[in-house]
Amino acid sequence: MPQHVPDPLMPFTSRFPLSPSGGRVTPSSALPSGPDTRPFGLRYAVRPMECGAHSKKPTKKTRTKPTKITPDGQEQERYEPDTEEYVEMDEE
Amino acid sequence: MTVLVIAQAQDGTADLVVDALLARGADVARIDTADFPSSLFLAATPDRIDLPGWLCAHGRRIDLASVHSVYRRHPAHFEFPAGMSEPEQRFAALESAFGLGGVLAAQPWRWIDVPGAVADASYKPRQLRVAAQCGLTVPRSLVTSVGTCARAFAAEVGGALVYKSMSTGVVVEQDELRIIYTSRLTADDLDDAAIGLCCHLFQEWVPKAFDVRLTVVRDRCFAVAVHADSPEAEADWRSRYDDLRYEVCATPDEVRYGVVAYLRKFGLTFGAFDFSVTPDGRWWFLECNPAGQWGWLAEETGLAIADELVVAA
Repeated sequence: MPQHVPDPLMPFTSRFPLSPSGGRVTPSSALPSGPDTRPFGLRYAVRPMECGAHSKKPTKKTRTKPTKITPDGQEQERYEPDTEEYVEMDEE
Repeated sequence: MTVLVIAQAQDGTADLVVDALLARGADVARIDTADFPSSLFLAATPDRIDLPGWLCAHGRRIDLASVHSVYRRHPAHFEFPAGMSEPEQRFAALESAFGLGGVLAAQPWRWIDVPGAVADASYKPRQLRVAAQCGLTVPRSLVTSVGTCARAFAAEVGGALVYKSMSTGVVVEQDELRIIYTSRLTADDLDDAAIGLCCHLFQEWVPKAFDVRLTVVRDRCFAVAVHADSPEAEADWRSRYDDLRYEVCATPDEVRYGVVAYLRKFGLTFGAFDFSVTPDGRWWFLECNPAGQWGWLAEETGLAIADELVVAA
């Protein structure tokens, strides 16, 4: 069955504002394939160290205060920040 | 006028920008694309220049016409109902990216940074070429899928090499996350068959005194020397945060000119540059992350990066 195949040299979705950059990984239980088919670079894939204070420092998080949602989106709410602890993401 | 912040809910770096904007009395609206379509809604009329439409996030209506500028950092994936099949999710994700993304891209806003420019600036080979064009010192580099070419490169360099991933460098196997940090190797480590299985980036190893993370906003440079106290951190400081010491340092004029020209070539306002500095004081360009982290460095050093971003917005 014919399938739409995106241009492999131009990840077009990455040119749109909402494309997530980097980072997201798909969970997999797959085993390494073996020496004949395993790319060289994957030899250097290592378990990340436990991140220490610099990359996991809890700090404040500011966000829009949740309010009741109206079906037509007409309700105008003032922005009121609230804060809570969050965990910093790793450097990239 | 409103400043729209598009970032993940738990993005602490974006929080610093929100805090700085609020401190200046700005009207801030923050959205997380992971909330789409469950609690982030959209109704847009692209043909109406005067009334382009609105977003509604957690009950707050954001008129697109009221937005002046956007700070965007690593938006999250949309989250669709769990019952959707994979083809349905793929369809919904693409329609939403082209729809919501297209509406946002159509607005005459000032972006930090324009998503297309960020995408273009994410290709490491292009980074290296543009850096060289801008007068920055760049390590000898080879992108190849040919093992014999890698060996010839190693012979030309005549010393230690590094291998580095050109994309995220993240892989999950056996339900375990692994990261490819910049890794030192020698010619003896090269394996022609395995190199032939995809593209690989090799660079000469720069014998450095320390690294620098240089955060640039327009023409303002915030340089922080990163001193590594372990061999692993010396090869790639991301691998051992606990082994690092930070020190604010000055940016040499020739580097300043180079990075500003670099950002202009890519049409960027922001860049997180990584340099290695050799004992003779020479700064070697390694890469530039167009949406890199800087929040932890601002907290470590007190550098006013968020304030500069607010001014730029």
